[in-house]
Amino acid sequence: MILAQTKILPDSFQQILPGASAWVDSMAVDPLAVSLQSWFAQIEVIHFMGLFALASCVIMTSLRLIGVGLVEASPSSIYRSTRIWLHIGVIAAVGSGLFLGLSNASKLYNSSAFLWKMTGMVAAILFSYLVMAPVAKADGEVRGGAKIGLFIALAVWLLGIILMIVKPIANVGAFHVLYGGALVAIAALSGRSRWILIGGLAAMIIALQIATHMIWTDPFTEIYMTVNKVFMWGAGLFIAAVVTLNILGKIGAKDSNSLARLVAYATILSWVMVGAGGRWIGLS
Amino acid sequence: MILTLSKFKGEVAKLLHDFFDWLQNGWGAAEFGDGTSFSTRLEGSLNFWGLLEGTHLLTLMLFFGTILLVDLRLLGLSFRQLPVSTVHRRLLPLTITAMIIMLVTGVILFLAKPEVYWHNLMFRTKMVLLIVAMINIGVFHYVIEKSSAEWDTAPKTPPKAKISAIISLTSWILIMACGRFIAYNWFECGKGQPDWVNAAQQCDISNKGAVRIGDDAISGESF
Repeated sequence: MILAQTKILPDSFQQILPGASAWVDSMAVDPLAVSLQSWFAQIEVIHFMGLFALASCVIMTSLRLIGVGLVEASPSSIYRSTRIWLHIGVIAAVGSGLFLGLSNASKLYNSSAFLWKMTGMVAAILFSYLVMAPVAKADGEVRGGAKIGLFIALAVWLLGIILMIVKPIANVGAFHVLYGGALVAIAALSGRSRWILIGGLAAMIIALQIATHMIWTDPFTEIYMTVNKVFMWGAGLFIAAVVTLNILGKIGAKDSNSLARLVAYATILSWVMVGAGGRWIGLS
Repeated sequence: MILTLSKFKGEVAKLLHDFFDWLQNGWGAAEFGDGTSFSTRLEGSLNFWGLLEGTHLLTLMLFFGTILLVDLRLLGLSFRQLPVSTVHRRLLPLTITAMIIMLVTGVILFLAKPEVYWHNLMFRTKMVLLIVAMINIGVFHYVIEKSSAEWDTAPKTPPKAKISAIISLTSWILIMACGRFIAYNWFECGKGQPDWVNAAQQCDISNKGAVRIGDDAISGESF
């Protein structure tokens, strides 16, 4: 919040690249951009299909690095079997994204959600190709090159997360990253720790519903906003604590190492952030 | 007999329309001072709508990501060294979890504009395709899988398993596309539409009525 108030961080690409505004404005009348608008929905479907295709590789490889999923196969064989979908998915998502961007340039240029989506996308591609791929090929061992890649990708992703949580309205997109983290943790954990996570989250959601539907029902009041923020921070810290304990090997960790689990969580959640960004571009 | 059946179908269609119309415009309206229904409040909610839509969409990453690999194994194109049953056993819990979340969020999303969605061609196509996908799952589980002991560990699966995988992949891709197209008003009742579109959407009993391309608004009865 302090970062947002002091304007240290940019709001959008408009602040980073002010010189591009003339080009962005020209897109509104560019024949190619205008013709792409009539194909927006169809291109959007290709964009989503790309994300879903790459998810098959990212999710299965990452879950295996955590020690769950297709445990009968090694991480390297899972990556080899699914990497084609990572390549096809990235090409489809990025390629169609370029066309979507051309047809909607002005909105994206001024959108804070687009800024953190792009930051998240750079991090997600770095995680996938510089970190997850070599770690999976080495069956979970995180070697020198992957460690450097992990450091760079984490730095970019952290910047994206900060950009996401300091921007009003668009920061609600953080919920999706939390929700993704909870889902991965539920898959990674077993027994009592899994039920503590599910029960804890259910209790918080029920408490939020009671608070915002029975006690403070006006969404435009300060108390309503505060209750939602308390929930977001409470749920966020709870999920982050569970995920951290899982990564450190204190709960639910099996057949993997801490760094590989960190790579796995970060790779999945960075792609979740990219997907969430698209949704919040339309709303912020 | 035909006339009676036709009348019965008309009555059921009207009944469903009235129910979805009440859900959209009547349900909960008396409880709020400004007379807005639960649906209107849901659609106009500050963040809840976006969270629901985003969750529905992002869960598709898990759902489609896992179902793609299961179907590719059935087609003999992926994880050929693993038994089909192992791929199913490991991935199915993830697919089912995603499906439950998608169903819950999908039903709530539908509640935002039930009358509008009910008379939307893309929504109806999506529902038909969902039924096709469910029947395919049932046929695979109760018929094709019965003989799985013969081909479970084989890299190549029999044609019936491959056909099931192709139906599955095709139907889920089309379901996803239709889901996206629901948001667009290409076939909206009340706008000029070809006769078959008006008939397929039952626009004549919708709140906006049926309008033939090139014609002025025509009332439900006269169309």
